[in-house]
Amino acid sequence: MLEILVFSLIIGLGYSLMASGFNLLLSVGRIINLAYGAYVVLVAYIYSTLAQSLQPGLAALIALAISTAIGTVGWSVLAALRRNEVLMIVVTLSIALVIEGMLIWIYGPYQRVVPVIVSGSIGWLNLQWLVNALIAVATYLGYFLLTAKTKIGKMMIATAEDPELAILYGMNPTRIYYITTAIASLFASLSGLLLSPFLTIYPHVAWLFLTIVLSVTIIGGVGSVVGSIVAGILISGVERVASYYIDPIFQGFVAPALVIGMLLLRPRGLFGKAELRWA
Amino acid sequence: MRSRLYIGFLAVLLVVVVFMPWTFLKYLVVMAIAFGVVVAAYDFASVRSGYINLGQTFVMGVAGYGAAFMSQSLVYSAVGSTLLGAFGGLLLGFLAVRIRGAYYAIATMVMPLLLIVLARTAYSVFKGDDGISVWALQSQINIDSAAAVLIAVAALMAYLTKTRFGLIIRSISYDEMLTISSGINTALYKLGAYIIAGAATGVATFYLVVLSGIMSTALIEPIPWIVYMLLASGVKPGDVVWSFSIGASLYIVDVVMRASFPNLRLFIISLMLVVTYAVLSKRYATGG
Repeated sequence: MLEILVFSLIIGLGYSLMASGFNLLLSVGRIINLAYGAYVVLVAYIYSTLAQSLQPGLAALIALAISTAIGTVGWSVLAALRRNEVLMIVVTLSIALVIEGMLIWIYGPYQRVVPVIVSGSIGWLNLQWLVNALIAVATYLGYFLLTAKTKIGKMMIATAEDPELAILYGMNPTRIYYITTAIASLFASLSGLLLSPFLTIYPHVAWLFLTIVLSVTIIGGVGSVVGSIVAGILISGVERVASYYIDPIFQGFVAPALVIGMLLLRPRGLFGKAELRWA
Repeated sequence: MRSRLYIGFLAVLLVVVVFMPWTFLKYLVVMAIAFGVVVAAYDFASVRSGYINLGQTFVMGVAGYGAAFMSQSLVYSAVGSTLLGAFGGLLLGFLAVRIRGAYYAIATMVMPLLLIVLARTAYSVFKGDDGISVWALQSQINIDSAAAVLIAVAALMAYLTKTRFGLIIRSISYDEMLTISSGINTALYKLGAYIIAGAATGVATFYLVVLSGIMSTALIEPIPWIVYMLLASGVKPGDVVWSFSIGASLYIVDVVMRASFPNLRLFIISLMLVVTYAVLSKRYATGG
């Protein structure tokens, strides 16, 4: 029982990290990044390729640096499309197709084994689980300190709450957006590194990642990182408990039931705010 | 004049299909017409009312599984698919009443993706990527009558755009607040449009499933289907006739690409999508 709860917490934190980056891009940057799932898969492929010739820890660090740089630069370019939602959706969808096509081209459509960063265990506790939990907690602590204690963090929150008012107060939304893309890329890269050893990785799994990201964002609420954390852990926990104690078939029903129920009863999600733009 | 041209085009299309001597080509054209109907329905409800709907394959999935689960009888299967399609449309319509903009796109995008996860996880029920076989029904279908039904549905969708109902749906995309202030209950019209589009999608999906002999996750995958819907409706948004014609053509292009250069397919689709919208994006959701 304890093992299941801990494992679902670890996976849930991975889901949360993944969705938090998407959520930040959406709320602060007004970016609907449908290439997000493909980007997370790309991180897993970069890491697994590097890990073939380097120590897993070193490979993870280099993969984190490379992918965060790619994400920051790539998503910053998307700022040009913020005024046209349809074009943004189309472009990000196309980027996802290009990434998936490129991975199929280079690696083939097959499953890929992604090594753990740390192997071994203390009793029943897998060391990789412990590392995942520590990294996720440290990342969120860093994020909350940034938003609570620094000027740039407060400006990010203000821009997410009301972008027009933020401009009136003299904030530079473009600069804030660039910083947001860097943080979002870091979230996505970390989730790719921490989750991929536990999941089956192949190019098309990008759409499964996008499903998780969108589900967590809808349940947690747009603009709320706390919502993403709660929703990620909630989905993972309910999925695993349903799978273990009821029937594995029910695992598949959990997320659709939660998402559709949330959309019908409370479209803004658990922690989201009703916005005139969207609801 | 334009309506007559379209009716003439559909009549010629039906005659060509009926007298086509090559069985495989006839099959391919009817499948393409079925997909054209799905795109026309998508255009009618979503694009015409100014909503970025990325969940039309969810409606196809709900209808398709309905057709597969009721495959003991051709009539039950067809009726079940149509009704469940209407139900799927109702769900999307309900969301269109409550949310809009980018959030609507996200909310609708997740629905087919979740249905795929469900179909794979609950394998014993949905048979995942392998799919549920409906071969028994295929022999009972007359392909000429299938073409006739599908073309009639396409004509109905085009007719509806000319009615007061269709014009009100169009006015929602121009200015929903103005439409409401004119005393029109836009929520009811949106729900109606989505239900009609869902039912039309259900009919088309029934033929797509029965003619292919299988209902699997391949029919629900947003890639390439949603991309083709965006492409087809992007050329002249809100024009059901264009969407139907381009949608049907894209289905055939997809078959050719899968057979000829499968590795380049995703690159070509993404390029077509960006070029289409980079050139035509200003027209989208503004009434052309």
